[in-house]
Amino acid sequence: MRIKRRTLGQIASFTTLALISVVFLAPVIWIALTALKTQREALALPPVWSFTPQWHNFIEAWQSNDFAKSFLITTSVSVFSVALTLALSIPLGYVLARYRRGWLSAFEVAIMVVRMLPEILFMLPLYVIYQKTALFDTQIGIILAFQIFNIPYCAWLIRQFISEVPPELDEAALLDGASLWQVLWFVIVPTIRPGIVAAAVLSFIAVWTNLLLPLALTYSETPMVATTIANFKGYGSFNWPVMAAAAIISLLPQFIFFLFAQKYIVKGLTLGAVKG
Amino acid sequence: MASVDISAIAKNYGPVRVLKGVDIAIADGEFIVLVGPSGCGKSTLLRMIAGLEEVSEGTISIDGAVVNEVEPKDRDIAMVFQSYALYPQMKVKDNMSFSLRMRGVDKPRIKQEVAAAAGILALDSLLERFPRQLSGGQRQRVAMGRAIVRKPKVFLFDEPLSNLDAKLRVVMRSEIRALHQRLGTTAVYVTHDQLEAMTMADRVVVMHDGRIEQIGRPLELYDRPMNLFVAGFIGSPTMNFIRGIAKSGHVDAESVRLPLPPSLATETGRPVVFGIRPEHLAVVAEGQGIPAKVEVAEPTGAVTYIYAHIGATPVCAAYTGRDLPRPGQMIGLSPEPDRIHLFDAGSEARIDQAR
Repeated sequence: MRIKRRTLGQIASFTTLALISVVFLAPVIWIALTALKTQREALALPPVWSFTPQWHNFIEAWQSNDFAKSFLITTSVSVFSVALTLALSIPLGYVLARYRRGWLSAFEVAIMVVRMLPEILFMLPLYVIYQKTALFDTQIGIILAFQIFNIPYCAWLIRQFISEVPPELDEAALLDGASLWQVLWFVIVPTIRPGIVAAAVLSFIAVWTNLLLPLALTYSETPMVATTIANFKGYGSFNWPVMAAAAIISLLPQFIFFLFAQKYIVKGLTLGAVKG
Repeated sequence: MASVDISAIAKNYGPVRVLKGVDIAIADGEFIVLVGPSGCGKSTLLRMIAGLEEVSEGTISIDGAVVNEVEPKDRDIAMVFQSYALYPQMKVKDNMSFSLRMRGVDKPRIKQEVAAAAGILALDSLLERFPRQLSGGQRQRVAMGRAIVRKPKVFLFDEPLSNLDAKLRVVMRSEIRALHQRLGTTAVYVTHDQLEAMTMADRVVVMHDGRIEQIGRPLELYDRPMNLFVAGFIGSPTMNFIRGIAKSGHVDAESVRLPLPPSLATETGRPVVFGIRPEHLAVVAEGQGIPAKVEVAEPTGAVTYIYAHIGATPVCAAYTGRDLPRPGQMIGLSPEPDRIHLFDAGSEARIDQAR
């Protein structure tokens, strides 16, 4: 009887999970299928389920509209942006976790408010500043702009992880002759590695998929993948299959990065649940 | 090795004054135990010696040099924490060598020093393990290994045995003591356990409410507690206290007469507290000594603690006989005259100044 109830429970949870997966995966599968169709098949109603895969859509996507260039630039912007975010968020998160002062708590709330504000609010002043300082349409410019949104989030995340580390570890290291930077580098960073990887993945995805910032702050010199894909639309028509192929290609780096970091992210999410 | 001088130290957290002027002179090579109930300021004082807390008032000197403004890393102090504070991502050998690496010691010497410390603490077989792979006792030993590896001027111990079970605590207690005798390094040890303080210390500092109540060798504190707090804190079970009025040759307390030896004679009519430890209160036959009514008898093997009432005052007597009195039975209790302590009921200070 008990076994039966458990089996029923398992079936129920598998069904629920399968349904949720379908909801999440359906758009991705739809795009993947579209990427393999001809323009006519892609627009057909009802949808065509039997077709000859058009692999050349991927080659066309890679070769048109500077997509290859934007792919490389986006990779470079993402990597440097994540590196800068982490380099600044780790010390900031440490200060927020370890030094509890009234004004720091206010600062902590303030930086989170920045993250809560809509991105569009920053676009106009940033656009004006960037035009005047030659940061417009440069990699450095867009990397700096991403910090406005990624640092608050990552610093908060990392602060949370550092709060889980007993302060005695810092104190032991200080007495062992370490400077504060050495405490951070040799003791804190290795201890919260899962949290740092989680922060890195989340900010990487945030940079890679962002459309608004590149749209406002870059043009032809620094094309980003999101804007390039959006530009696949023609004046009169959309080349859906090629656009879908470009979208699938743009998923790959995130997918690979996520696969690599997955075990750390899971660890990161459960860190602190078990003391010891 | 070094002497440590703590002079008029005070600590304020905002309006709260947790240390209220503390003076301790710790000699080179001495093992000092700071003991007191939770919140008495002992751990704060230890952290101030380490440089982990700022000094509000007074000075701390190590080897004659004031270190109030010296960074923890420059004080040449090693500390063993209650939680061990081992670096979780480092193997035992890396935990132990961390301080040497931070000081830029060359690799061959690091290896040599770690091996020497591991040898002293029997850690040789654990060097390649991570802290999470060790038992509580092993972690404790690694924490001590990390402290001794760089031969600091002073060792600080912050309740290092609290997380261990009772049996292991006894073992580690003698290990720490043996280690101190071997190395001879000045040590300051914080505990709330008076037994730990008594068994380990060269001198014990009893603290209460941010102040020092008494400093002395363990047996001094036991034999001549200077006030009611120390008398009650040192010794287990705790000393019996019976309030009364001093008379010629005795104390009048709740219709019983507590005999006083001539050495404790004080002015008649003075409100006093008569103190006697359970082990100095003999159980005698009914009709002799002070009459008491038995509540319960707790045999521990070597001694049985007889909990009884003299009038309304609860008392405890240590009894080595095998014929145990029953609850409700009347017995006599006889204090050893030269083991009686007398305190002023108002100031709570010890009355007999000469002995």
